Amino acid sequence: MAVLGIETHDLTKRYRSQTVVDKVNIHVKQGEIYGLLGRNGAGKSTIMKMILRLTGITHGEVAILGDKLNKHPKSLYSRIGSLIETPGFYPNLTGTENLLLFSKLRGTISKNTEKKALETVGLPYKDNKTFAKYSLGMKQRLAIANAIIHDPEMLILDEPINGLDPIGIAEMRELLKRLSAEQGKTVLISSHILSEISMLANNIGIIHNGVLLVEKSQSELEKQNKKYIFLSVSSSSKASNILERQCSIYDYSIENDTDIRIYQPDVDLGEINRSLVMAGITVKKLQECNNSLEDYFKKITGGVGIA
Amino acid sequence: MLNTISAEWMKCKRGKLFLFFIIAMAIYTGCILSVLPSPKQVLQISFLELFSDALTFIILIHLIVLGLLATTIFSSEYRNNTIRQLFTIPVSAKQFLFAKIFVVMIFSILLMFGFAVSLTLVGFISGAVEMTAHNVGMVFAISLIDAITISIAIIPILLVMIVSKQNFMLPILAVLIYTLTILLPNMGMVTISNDLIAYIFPLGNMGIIHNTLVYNSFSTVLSVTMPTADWRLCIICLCFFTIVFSVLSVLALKKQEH
Repeated sequence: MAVLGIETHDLTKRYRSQTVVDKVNIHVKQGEIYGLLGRNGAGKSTIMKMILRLTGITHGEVAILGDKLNKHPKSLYSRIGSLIETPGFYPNLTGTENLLLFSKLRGTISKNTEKKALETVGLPYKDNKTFAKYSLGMKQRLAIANAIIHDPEMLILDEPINGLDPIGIAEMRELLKRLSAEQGKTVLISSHILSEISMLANNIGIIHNGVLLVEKSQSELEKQNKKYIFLSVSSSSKASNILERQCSIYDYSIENDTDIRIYQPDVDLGEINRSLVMAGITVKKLQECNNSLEDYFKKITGGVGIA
Repeated sequence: MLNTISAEWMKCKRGKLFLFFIIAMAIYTGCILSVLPSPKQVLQISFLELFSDALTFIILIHLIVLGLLATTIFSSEYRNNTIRQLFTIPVSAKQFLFAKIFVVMIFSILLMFGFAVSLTLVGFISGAVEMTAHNVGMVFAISLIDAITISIAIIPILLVMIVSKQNFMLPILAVLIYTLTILLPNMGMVTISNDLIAYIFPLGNMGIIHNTLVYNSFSTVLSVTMPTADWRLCIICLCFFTIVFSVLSVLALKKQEH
């Protein structure tokens, strides 16, 4: 059995009587992008902070690359690049100086790596602008540069696209995909932006009120939430015969006596309607439906959806 | 550890540390000038009396200056969210704390060195007597030892700074209260007697060490009394407080949520 990049076992965080993370078990495979999806305050940042030991664990365990974090924390940290909540840098220093400082602390100082990291995130090398004068997007880019500068095996990124413009978001998405696909980096990313997670992650964990509700692969979720045609007729059994014989439609499911869901792509709605009417079947409803990840998210969290 | 210390200096670039130093030096020089007797009062100014009188004020001000500096450098790490970044590198709580103490100590040495230079210049310009190479050398040596002991004596305040995180007011209040305790009788610079309180308070330890040094160096010239408290025991007590409060500060840093 392959060693997981990150594995948590019953990870729990309590502040007095309030439980903010409750027995969370996440399984991040090596080399994949794992998206932690949840509304604001769901517990995403707390999970990441517990993984990084920035906050204490009330109960449970974290294993990174097979090693329990409490046993070898120092050696493990050097294999992780992270960004948690707002980027923390020294306002009186430039972006390059900030990167130099953190590289020095890591003991991995090299001019080329700073230059390369800044170029990767689209920031100028040796710019005179201090961090205090950076826009939110620039600050976020610098934080990503700092997370990748030491070529870590794993990236833990909490809301990394916050403050980025649409082009910046697309660039960041491509960068993370590239780092995962080409360099085999394991990425744990959290976001409340559902569309981003669905475009980026291989596996998705949905967290709500500190509880991990679902942990599924993107393909499983796609399958579960794929597009379909909803058909309401006088008799679903008779209609199924017509669909198979006359319209060559076989990928469908009969929901009840009157309702059918057709999953087969590129079918002609007009032809279906015509064939059923000519066979004497009353068509009450015929419409294309898109059961999106958002619908699924709303369904399982019982909420009104997220951005 | 060396990387952590040199990173501390990198953080000072374009910061207000230099301005802070200039302002502090101006205050220190002002103190020296304020205790300078006018030519009408005395025929000849004594260099050692000038040193002794100025130092009483300087030590008080130096404690406040170092307290403010330490508060600034600690709270800025919390305010800028850099402490979280540092701990994921990982910089250990121990490295973090000792690098900060080291910066405060270096700043303390530079300031007290500046004070000794300033005092020598004022003494030279005003034509003070007793400006022998030995006396000037001893003034520099005592200033250096005071710089180190004062920076160690403020370590208990660091615990308040760490617990307060980015709150500025509580540590500053603690610095002021802590500094003013030196004015208590039997404690620090004002009256030293063989009292238990001189041992159980880091500032008391610092005061006894200072007064013993001054007595041993200049007792033939200055009218100073030998402290009854044992300076060796004070050094042991100061080391004990340093270790206890350093350990407590490291534990507080480790226990904190970032």
